[in-house]
Amino acid sequence: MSPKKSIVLIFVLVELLCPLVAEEGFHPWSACISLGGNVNWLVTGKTYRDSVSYEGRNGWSVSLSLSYRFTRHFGLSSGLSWQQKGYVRSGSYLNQDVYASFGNTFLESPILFDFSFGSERIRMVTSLGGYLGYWQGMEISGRDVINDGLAADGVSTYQESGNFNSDRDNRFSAGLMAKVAFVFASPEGFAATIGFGYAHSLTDMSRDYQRNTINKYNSTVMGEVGLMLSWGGRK
Amino acid sequence: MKKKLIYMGEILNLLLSLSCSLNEVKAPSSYEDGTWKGLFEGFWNGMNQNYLFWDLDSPSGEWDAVYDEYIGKFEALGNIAGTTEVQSKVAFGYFYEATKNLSDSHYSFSLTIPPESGDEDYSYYFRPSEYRMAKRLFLGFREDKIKYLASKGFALSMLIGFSSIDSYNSIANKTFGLDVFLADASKARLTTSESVPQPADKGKLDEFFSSWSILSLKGRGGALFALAGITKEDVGNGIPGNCLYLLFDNFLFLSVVTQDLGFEEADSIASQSFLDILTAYESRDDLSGMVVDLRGNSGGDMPSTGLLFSQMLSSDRILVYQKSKVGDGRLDYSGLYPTIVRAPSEPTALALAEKPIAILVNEGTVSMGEIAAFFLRSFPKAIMLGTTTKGAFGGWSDDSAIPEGGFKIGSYMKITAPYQQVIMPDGKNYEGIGLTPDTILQIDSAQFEEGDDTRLKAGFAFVRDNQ
Repeated sequence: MSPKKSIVLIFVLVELLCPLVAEEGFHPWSACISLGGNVNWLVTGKTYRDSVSYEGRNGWSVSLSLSYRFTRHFGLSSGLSWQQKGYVRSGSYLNQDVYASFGNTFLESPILFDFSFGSERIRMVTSLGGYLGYWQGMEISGRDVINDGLAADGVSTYQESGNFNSDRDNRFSAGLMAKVAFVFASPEGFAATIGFGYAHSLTDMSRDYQRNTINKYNSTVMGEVGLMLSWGGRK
Repeated sequence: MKKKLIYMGEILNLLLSLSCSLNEVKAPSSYEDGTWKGLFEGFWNGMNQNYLFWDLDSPSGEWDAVYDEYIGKFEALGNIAGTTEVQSKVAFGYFYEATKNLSDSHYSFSLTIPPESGDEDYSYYFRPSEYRMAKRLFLGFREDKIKYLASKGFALSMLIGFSSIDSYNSIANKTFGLDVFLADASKARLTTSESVPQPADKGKLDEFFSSWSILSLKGRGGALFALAGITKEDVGNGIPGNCLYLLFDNFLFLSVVTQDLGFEEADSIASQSFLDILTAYESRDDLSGMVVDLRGNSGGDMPSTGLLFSQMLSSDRILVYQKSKVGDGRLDYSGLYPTIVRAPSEPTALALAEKPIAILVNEGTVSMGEIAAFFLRSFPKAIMLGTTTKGAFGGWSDDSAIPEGGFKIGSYMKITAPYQQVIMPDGKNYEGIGLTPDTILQIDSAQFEEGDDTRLKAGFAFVRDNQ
């Protein structure tokens, strides 16, 4: 099934399910704690180097969010999240496979406009907005050639963290974010959520410290599950 | 609502496309367009992406300033075709000035320009480390004179050669009376004090040593000379008895053992026999100490350290840390990864590790020669004697698959440079600086020529006085 057809089918299913559940009102406030996983890719300029490739790296995320619904359909949400956004640079030379795996972590605060539909028991929430963030942690691990690759131990490994370079690294980040989440609520105001999202940084992780700066942007696909508590409003 | 969504989508697309105007990493040769400006662009960008030492050499954007200073000058030179000899010298002078202060002692560039007329190219070669050494060692150094000599194709290494008189071959020749200037496979690959028949040119070895062994190998891509001996006591010259003396011109032992660089199976067998003899020497319990002569040692393979000295280790020891580039930005570095010398399960030369060890170095001690000197100095009663070493630690290779280090720009330029930095176990980077001996001993050239090797005597004296 094509992605386009899948999205249409999800919308139709949610709309069909809505009338099955009695709707008496809505809670304008909700708070949610979420755990998630993601895959991040580095978006950088094309390179002529045949022996080098960039790959995505898996990461984790933890988020706390607070939402307010102005109407049944429209709302605003914000919060704080901790996100791992890594990537891997790998290659092969001197008869050895080498790689460098970057594990960057960010503290981010998204601001999202929410559009939700469905019933108060089962809702689909689509969100669009942006985030501001701070590049909080850096870890680099890898394997590289030693001894010209000649000896039996032709490679060596490393793992370091926290080596930010104030000339090189731009630790402020901002970007765009889109999310889709399904909310399964109980009458008591508790809900479980599951969602997917995409974030694309608009700020370069590299400062403009040299001519022809090598640009580094994050592009992240994420999935989250969460627990939500809603309150306020009329029932 | 639909219009709003479309409008938001348009904004999203615009922002994404703005964020994706990415600088491309282009091959240095792709800048070449037949002009001097294009050649400089290729050189500058190739260096910008590939050179390993920008944390030392461009901490505040100095390499960008080089671009700003020279791009107009190269543009003014016009097309490469039709370049006169004078113009080619001017161009060489620009590349020379732009790179003469680089720290990397393995870095060099060659510039080859087709002639305006005639058959011979205008060819130039320059290595900043030679400029630096000439500045330090060449009596009568003058900036304009050195630049003039370099532009005439004069090898600055010759100037350094004149200053570094006590290299391995001259030591072997002047001090021990051996003719080993060319390690030659036509000679016996391995000779010892017990060889039958004895070699004709064993010089004064029997006077100095009660037991000795010489390795003399020549492959297609390298040569290896090594001498090991156990001294006879010579009170008059201050030489203690039973002192292990080692002299190597380089550390290509692993290349020989693995038959790399055109070394043959017979070379490998001879080398292994030499290493076995050396281990037997090191394992003697009557040794007074060791003198390791690394003067003029031109470097080689890191694992050779293990082949030569691992029997002295009770536990693994870090030889060096290395770091490479893991991105095309000037400061995109990997973490530090160690090269370790492994201790054998039953080391046989732990007693020697506690004995006095004198390491002789000079300005001709380079690369792996320096690394070995640093390694040996870490033993408890070791001292380094001589003059400051060259300061060339990086590992380099001509393998074009390596994404960092050297590169070419068409047929005009070849840049040789390491693909790794070397950081010593003390956490310091001595690239372009060199190791400073514990005791500075200048050479007395006249005495050395007469066969009186004062630096060597100082090494033996240290062993004698610290037993």
